[in-house]
Amino acid sequence: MSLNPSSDWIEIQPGCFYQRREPYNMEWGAVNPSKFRLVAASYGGLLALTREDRKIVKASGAETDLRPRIDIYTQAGKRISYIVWNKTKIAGMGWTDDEKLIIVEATGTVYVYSLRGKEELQFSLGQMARDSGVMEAKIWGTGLVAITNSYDILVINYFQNLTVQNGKAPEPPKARLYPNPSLAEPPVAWAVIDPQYTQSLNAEVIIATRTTVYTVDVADVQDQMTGTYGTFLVIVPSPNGKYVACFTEGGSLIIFPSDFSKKKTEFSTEYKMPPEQMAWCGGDSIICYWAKLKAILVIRVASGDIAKPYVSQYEQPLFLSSECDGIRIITPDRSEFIQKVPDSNESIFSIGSTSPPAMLYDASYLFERKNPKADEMIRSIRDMEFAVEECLRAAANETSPYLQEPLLTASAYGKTFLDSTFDSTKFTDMCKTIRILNAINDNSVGMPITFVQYEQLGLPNIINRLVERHQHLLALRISQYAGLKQEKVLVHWACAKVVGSTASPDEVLLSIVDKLKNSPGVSYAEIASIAHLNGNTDLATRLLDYEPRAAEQVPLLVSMHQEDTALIKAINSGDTDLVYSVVLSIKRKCRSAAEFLQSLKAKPVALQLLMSYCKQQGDLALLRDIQIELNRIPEAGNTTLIQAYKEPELKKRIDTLEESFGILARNKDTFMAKAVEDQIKLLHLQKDFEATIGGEYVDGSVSDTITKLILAGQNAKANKMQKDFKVPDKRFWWLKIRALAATSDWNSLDKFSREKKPPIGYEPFVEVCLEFKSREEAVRYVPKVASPAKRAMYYATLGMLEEGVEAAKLTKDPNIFQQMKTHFSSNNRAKEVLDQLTEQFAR
Amino acid sequence: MKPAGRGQPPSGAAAGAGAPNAPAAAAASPYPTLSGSVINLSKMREEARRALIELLDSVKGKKVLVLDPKLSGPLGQVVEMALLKEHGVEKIYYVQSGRFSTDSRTIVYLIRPRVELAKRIAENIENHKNEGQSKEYHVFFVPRSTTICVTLLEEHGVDNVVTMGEYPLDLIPYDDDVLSLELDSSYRECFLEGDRSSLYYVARSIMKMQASFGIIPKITWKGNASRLVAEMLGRMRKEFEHELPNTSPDIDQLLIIDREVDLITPLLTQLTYEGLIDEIFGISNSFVEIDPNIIGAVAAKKDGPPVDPNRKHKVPLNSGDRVFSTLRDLNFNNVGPLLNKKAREIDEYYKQRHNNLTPPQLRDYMKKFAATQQEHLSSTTHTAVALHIQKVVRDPAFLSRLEAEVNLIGESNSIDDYIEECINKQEPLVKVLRLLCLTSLVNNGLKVKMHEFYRREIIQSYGFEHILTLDNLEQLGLLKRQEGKNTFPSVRKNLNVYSEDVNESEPKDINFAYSGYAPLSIRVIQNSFKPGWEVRDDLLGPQDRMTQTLNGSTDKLPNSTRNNVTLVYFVGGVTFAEISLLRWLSRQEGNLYGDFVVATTKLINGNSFLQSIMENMTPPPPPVQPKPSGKKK
Repeated sequence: MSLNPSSDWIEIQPGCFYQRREPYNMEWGAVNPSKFRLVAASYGGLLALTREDRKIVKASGAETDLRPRIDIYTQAGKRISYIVWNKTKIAGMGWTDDEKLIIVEATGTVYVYSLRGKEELQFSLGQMARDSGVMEAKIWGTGLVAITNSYDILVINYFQNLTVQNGKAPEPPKARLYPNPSLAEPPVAWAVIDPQYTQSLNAEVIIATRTTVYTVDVADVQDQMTGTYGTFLVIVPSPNGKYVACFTEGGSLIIFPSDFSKKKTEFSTEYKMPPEQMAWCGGDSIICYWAKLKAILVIRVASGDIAKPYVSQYEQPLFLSSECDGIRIITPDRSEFIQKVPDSNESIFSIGSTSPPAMLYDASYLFERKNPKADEMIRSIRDMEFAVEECLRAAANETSPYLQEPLLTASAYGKTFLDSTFDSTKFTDMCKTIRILNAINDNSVGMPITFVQYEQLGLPNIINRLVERHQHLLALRISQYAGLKQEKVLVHWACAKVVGSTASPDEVLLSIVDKLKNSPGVSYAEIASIAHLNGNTDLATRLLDYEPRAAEQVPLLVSMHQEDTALIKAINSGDTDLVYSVVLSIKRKCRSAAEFLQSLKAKPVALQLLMSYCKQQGDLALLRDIQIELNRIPEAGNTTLIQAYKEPELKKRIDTLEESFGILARNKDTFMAKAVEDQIKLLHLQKDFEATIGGEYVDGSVSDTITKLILAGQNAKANKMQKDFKVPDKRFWWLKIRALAATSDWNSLDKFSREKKPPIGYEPFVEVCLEFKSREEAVRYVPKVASPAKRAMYYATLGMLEEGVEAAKLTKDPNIFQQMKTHFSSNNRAKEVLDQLTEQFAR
Repeated sequence: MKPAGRGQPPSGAAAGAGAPNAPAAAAASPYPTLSGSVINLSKMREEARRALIELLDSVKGKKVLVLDPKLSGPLGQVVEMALLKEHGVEKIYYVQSGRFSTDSRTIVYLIRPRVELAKRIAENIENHKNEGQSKEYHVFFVPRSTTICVTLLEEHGVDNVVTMGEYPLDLIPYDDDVLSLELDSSYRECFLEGDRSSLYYVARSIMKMQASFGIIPKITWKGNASRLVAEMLGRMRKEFEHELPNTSPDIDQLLIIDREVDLITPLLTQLTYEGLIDEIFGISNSFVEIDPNIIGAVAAKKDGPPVDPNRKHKVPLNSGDRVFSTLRDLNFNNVGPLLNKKAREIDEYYKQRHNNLTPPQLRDYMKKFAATQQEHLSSTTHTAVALHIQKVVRDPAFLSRLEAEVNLIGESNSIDDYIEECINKQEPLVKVLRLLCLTSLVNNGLKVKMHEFYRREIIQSYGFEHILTLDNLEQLGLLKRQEGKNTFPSVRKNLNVYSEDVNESEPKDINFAYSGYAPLSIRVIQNSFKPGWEVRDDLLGPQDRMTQTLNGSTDKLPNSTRNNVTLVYFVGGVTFAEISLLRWLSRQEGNLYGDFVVATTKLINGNSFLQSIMENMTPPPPPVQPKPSGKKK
């Protein structure tokens, strides 16, 4: 029969199979996990170990360094680095999803370490944590929760970015204070639900006291009233956040949904002592470990009733670490992984299975051996596409190439029976994925992840983890192979080179440029920023020359105090914001305005922008200083004008206008100065008018003022204004007749029309009369209008056909009659007459 | 994009803080469908929409949205109110200074990076702080954050409570062939204030288009600002090489032309239907607001909500409206007859139902029913609008203005008397300035005496506060003293800019949109297609052309089954009439030009163009004087 792994399966419940994989023998010598505080990153990530304060360790002769340390190992027990811990008590330790080690000190300080043991960031959880100290902290993939000794709950839901970017240290995250459940004593047990699984997308903290359980989230505290079940000694949320497993003082294991709405299932373990460790194996079983028993209990909780748990003996101490689809068990010499047999594999390999993929697998086996029964078997498969896909999936789920191969062969065999609608890239993509999985599962890399975990974590994250471990070549090959961008890997490599290399800057530069020359998207600025941070400014400057993006170059040049180069690059880029950023940083550095201007003098683009900045900021005083400094006198005068017009008080406005006049008078073009002088004169006059005549005059124009004077009957003053301000006769007449018409002072209008021959003719008289709705008055002026055509149209407007026709005849223009027609739209007789005349004159 | 549901305000965000908008009078979709576009513009709109939703979702929970008033129109083109609601926006406000009161805990600001607005936000936050209110603030800058604004928030000490981000909205599709950045003061900033930010935005927007439509093989440019853009494009090509696709290009040529090349055209009165709507009513973000007494009867819907009789009707103007799309590019004189014809057609159609229709005929009838009803509604609206326009254009005041323009542009006759009369009659300043600038441009400046005269007249008539407006126009060369040789007559002759011979109904040339004047800008574009075009610096500015090699294999030639596509980018603004003329060119038989897609910094007309340059120095109100207590008699 074909190769079948089912013989190694464990039937933990009738019909329910688990499998145990033993990926690695640990390389770490005789490390005993039970003597350490151990935390493991999810997805087959790294392990961090430190001696527990509470646990006594016998100093062996070999180890002479007794300072507390934190050692970092791969899952295969290979040590990558260590951290010498010379600080106070550790209140919590854990890994983020991108494999940063977070350590919370009891003082409330949080340290972020790279997996290479380098401290990258430290920040405080705030005054509250400092004052009372952190009792315990829990860390998950994206955040942390700390409980202080006065039982305040501090939460960081998401560490945003914890790494150095563009030469800038990351912003330290800020902790948020959750509502306080008013505890009187330390919680018996507590746990955190990952914010990505809660409704509010904020972490939920579950706190067990002697009498009940509280769920605390950002908005409130909920008492779940679980008193009837007794005290919960251990609480563990499931990997998908849906359920919470609780171990009670009575020795029961109870599973609740995470909102504690209704007990899902309960099982009595018959042990009164709580297990030392309790963890989920995937989403459907719980594993409890009692050191005394030297055994683990596998309790399957997926189905409603719990049958007998499965017991497995472990002579050696062990450490449990949950994964989304299983659990890792780390012992002094092995790292194993236990999971439920994936469905695809179960359906193929379970004894006597007749599922389509199982049939395909068997048929392929027979076909390989040239057995004609293969054909018969193939024919009996109803859903071939399903069979092909299941074999593929099963291959990905297996870790051994010996099993992957026949499964892939079966899938490929079945594929030949499908029509062209089947997307063959599914097959090739999966083969690629399997190759990548095999590569990273290898002992030398030590990332033992399953296909399910691979899909959840995603390839880009896997590549990140690889580069962080300095597996650059593998990461690059995988990126190439999977068609992903390689820039990040290359940049990371180059940064590592800059930091780690002992070669001369020339050699480093050469080797970097050589490797990166064919990758246009590479950020040289990022590499340069690392060189700069590392104190190698010369190398940084030279690396920056290779950076094509000004937006990346400029900020770094500024932080390297090369403002001049930065300014030139910024101006050349055309990106005004970059210029601003340099200008502002120069401004911050300069002690005086003069020094500042001096440094910009040769850069007109920058100066222009600076002036525009002053205008936007409303910093007119600085703007004027700059303009005077640059000898731009007219502009300085204009700025003073704007300043004047920002003054609400008239006196100050006039004073500032005087100042402006002083500046503008230096100018060759006298117009502006004259205008300002006139305006000052006008404002003084207007102030007087307001005092002597009353009413509002200030800020009106000359024309407005004249109009108002006429309206107020102050003709003499109006006439004087005309003289003083050299108002042309024409405008004066217009102003006067409109003012008179507006007040219906028809007599004065008539008198004025006779004073002398109007310089504007008589049309305006007709128009103002019409505008102010006096037809009779309008008629009075029409005969005086010089142009017969205009006369005709005015008559038409007034509905006077005969007079209009008389005038129109004088023009001898047929069009005029047509134009007149528009005013007689409801008068058919008139229209007829006008049409006749049109014809008559057209001839 | 799904149009907003019936009865919804037509442009979601445009609703702003004020009263919700009236339902569109013409029931056609308020947004262009973009289905008729020669390049996939809906992809751009989809992208802008997706980015906005993503931005809103990045802020958890319910929130209020506080907008830059200048963004509400452009955003309305991208997303509708209902969708904002779905993503947690409870209310929309405009950014206000001082105190901003809201019950919401989370405030999302969406603004252009203007210092003035950043200041207001800082004030809002400081006020909340003083009142002991704790809120969550998010500020998103459009299209990107700037050092100045960030520094300002830092200086006010509010940056620690604000989460800052960017919403990279740049070119917004306004129609099948029109894209705009909607930066209103681009010309002013660039040419007056020496702030070339908008040129950078232009270049960035072109890079973004290349990222989605492929590298444009040929770039032609004309004008000094265009040169700067072209240079930036060259540099950016190097910077963003890895982000550009190696697909065959959807756009064959980019033609950059800046407003400085042709300042005359926007100052003249547009005579196309759409142009006149813009001149008379003002088009804002592809909508026009019409007084109810002009189209009142049309919009009263039986089943609709009661309509406020004083509220203006918002009429969408885009090619989704079939009636409007046949009218928009025509000289106005053709609009009346066409609308009559349309009315007759619709009438014919409705009459059919009295005939005894056979079932297939009936099916056919019903199939056209919805579309015809739509057209009916639209043609009723446009008939009303056209009637109003007709009243305006037949008015002697309008006619004398046109006459003045023609006199000037055609024969350089003096129109001083007319301008002076306008000033004396206190006609709107912007009208006077349009004519005055035109005079100056055509004559290469004003005679010394007139130059003095007009400036004094304007200040004395309209007030001293306009003195800097005059100075701005002076600096931009729009209004100046006569100096050197006048080059306009030779330009007019060489480019055949004016001809009395206009055929408005069946045009033979592009001079039907401005009573005999063929816009310089369009002539320049036409010339660039002629053989013998060369690199040079002529009277209208420098010009050059560059080719861009495509990434990847060179054998990917443009798809030969489609017309050549030219993206014309008007830096500093474009008028509707200019767009109409480009459409007309590509519709001509034996089409030399292929298809045009127009992009610009802003859709403008003479008024909005000049208004962007004007400087208002209105003084603040005088401080309140303490009044003596007790009344005097």
